Amino acid sequence: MFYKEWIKTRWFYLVCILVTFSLCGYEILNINRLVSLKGASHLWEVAMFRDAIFIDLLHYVPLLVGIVAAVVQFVPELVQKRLKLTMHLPQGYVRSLSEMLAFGFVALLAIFCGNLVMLIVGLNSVFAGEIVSHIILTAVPWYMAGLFAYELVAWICLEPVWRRRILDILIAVACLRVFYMSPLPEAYNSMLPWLGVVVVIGLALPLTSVVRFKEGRE
Amino acid sequence: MVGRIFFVLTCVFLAVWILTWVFHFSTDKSEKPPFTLYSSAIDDFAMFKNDEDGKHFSDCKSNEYTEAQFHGLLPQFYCRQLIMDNRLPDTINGVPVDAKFIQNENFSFKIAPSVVNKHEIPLYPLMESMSGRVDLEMPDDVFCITDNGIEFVDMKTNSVNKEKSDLFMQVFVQKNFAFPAHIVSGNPSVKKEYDNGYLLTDSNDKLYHLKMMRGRPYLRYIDLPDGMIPKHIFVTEFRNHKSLAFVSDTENSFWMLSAKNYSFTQVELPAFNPEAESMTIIGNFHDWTISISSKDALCYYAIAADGLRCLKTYEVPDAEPTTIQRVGNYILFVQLRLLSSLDGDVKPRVAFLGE
Amino acid sequence: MIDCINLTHYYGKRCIYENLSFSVPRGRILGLLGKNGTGKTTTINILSGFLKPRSGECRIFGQNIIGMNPELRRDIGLLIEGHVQYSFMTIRQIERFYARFYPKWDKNVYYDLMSMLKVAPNQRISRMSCGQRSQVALGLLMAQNPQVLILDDFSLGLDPGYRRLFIDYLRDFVKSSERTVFLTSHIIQDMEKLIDDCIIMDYGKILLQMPVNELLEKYRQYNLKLTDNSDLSGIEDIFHPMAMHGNVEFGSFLEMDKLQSLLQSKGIKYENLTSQKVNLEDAFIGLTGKY
Repeated sequence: MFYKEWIKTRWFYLVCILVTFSLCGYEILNINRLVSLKGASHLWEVAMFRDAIFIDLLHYVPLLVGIVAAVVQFVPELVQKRLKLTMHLPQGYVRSLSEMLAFGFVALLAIFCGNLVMLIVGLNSVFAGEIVSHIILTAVPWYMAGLFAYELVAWICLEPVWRRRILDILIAVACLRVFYMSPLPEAYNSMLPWLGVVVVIGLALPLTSVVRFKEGRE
Repeated sequence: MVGRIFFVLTCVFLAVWILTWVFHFSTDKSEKPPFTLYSSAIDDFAMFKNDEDGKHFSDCKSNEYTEAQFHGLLPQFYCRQLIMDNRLPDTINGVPVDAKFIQNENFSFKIAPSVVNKHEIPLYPLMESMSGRVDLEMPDDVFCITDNGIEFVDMKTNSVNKEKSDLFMQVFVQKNFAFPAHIVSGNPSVKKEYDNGYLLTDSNDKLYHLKMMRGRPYLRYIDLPDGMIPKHIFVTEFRNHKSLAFVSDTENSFWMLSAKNYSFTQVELPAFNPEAESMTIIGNFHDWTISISSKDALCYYAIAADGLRCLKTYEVPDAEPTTIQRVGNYILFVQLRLLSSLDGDVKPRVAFLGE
Repeated sequence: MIDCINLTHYYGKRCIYENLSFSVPRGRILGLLGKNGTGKTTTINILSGFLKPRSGECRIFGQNIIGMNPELRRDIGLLIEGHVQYSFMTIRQIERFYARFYPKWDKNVYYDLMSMLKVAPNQRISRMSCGQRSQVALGLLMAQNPQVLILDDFSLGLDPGYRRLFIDYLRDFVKSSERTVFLTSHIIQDMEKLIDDCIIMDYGKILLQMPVNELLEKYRQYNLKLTDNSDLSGIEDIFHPMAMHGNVEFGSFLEMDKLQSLLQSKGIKYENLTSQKVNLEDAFIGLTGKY
């Protein structure tokens, strides 16, 4: 199953890796440029007293990546009901779908972790650990939103009934809105464990669509 | 199965959250309270309100005043206006005054939960308190208090300044400061009259005053009143140099720390919790007007500047909820919000409102 | 091998069919024939477990299709309408993908068939013609080596050459080792070469269910000229009478003498009654009507 997902999505993930790492690199270069223009102290001060986090460009990037990842992976399965092929394979269909989801989830997780590691390394060269953790804690919910968006879009794509799909889209928009409620740094600190739990349990959501597909809802 | 339960719970969560938002968005109206200050001339609170009908000046007993009379009731606050009108009295409450004296003694102070509850970065610039220059200057380094000591980090090189850290560390050890710190409080800004450094409590909740004077560390242990454990400290740096800080303790009592002899005086106020209530103080040499506002109450206290006893209180009557609000609260007996005006955090805040 | 018992299904209030029962014994090929929209794909969906029927059940290898042990699907080959496959893969990739799932996988059969297609092994399926795709799908089915095949409208979109090719390969493959096939088609041409039994469906009902040989043996197409204004429509045993200038064409399972007595009993005046045997396609049209 991983083989199929790999063939289907490898170009997307290649582009995705290039784009996200380039953006992270750009942000780090930008910070270094500001340091040479205005001095490190200025950047430290705006970080400490003016809520600047310097990586605002990345705000919606994980969200977009998550959405596109799910579309790239699941829309080809839905065109001409190709999902039937997957579900006809001689293994439980829940298992097949779980493997597909696991592939996408792990791939995204790996890319996102890579992004964060790159940011941490880049920021550490300019800022003290306290500022770096402040910035990273602000960015972590964005990456969680990316993972959750992947699950929600998979859920929407796999849903067989159009009317229900529209309802699902509305629910998904509201769910994702929760991740973007406050622009303040570290606003989600106390919520992060819960968001983590939601993102993990959320993996079960697309499976409900598949069960409905299997029952032949139209 | 897990997916279905998750789906149902998510729907319930979103429904309650969105309904709460829609309800409050359509029914909540905030009315600006009148500007209120204690006037020692009438021993009452004087109020000023500007609405569609124009300006209204009154007091708690509903006496009406003209604008000029109103300025006369609050000579310290309207000092500049009175000078312009050539009406500044020679004495106020028996104290001979001039413009300089009044302006030197006046101060205002404001704290809000959104600031108190903010996630700050535990790095602090320590300014030179006795630079010999008029303007304050931001240093090139910041200090942080770790589990084991104090470290100065140079911002340009992002590296620890070992020499300076050791210099300060010696003093901390000498004064038996127990690392790490519980509270580090100061006003790291160059837009102030002078710098009074930081107040710190160590891991045993002992209070210290930290400054840098001519490049040398100044650390002083401050005796606390019996049983008092500071919870929030606000370094004041007012022009009159009388106070060093306001301190609220774990019992929600409010104290002033004197700059002269490091002594504490309790302000005669009911419990005040800076994490949930905002406070403004507008003070002069004779009295302070303190307003404390929480989610559902607004109270004014007149405090004598000398001794900090309460002279008068005034509670602003609560606005009666409208019928729609009452019905809404009855139907939406569980309300869920993710944001709060008290802090910038995003987290579920559930309220049960059954009436 | 395949048993469907009392299948009833509705889409909303629209009845697809009620109480459809059939079984396909080992080694037989059953064709479900009907015009577009008569419920062929619905039946395939029920049979392959993608649709819960309103009532009734389907069994393959004696196991109810709902809740079937997934491993049994190793022995069930499924062709989705339009020869749908993972079109983002090349013919080599798709072979490697499926091979892992089927222990009896025979890649030689697949590559033999592919070698005739004159496509490069790294050509994506999405860039192939419909005919070529049908060969890929057939090759995969054959490599899977299943006991039971379920084929949904394999003739859809195929030109006659590929259709013939598909049928020849399939018949050879099925008959060589007694495989069981359930298939649907809306194109009847060539079908008599392939199927053993047929079910002919109309909107909302099943018209007929019998072996193809018996159908071709018994079904007659009649022509006559009416000499009065009588109307043949509505008479039982006479299918879809079509009148043109007083000449009427209709189908029936009645033999000539039985038909004559039926017409007599209804008081219908006619002349020049002729009968002829027809092929499966003409019989299908006669039974379901041209419209």
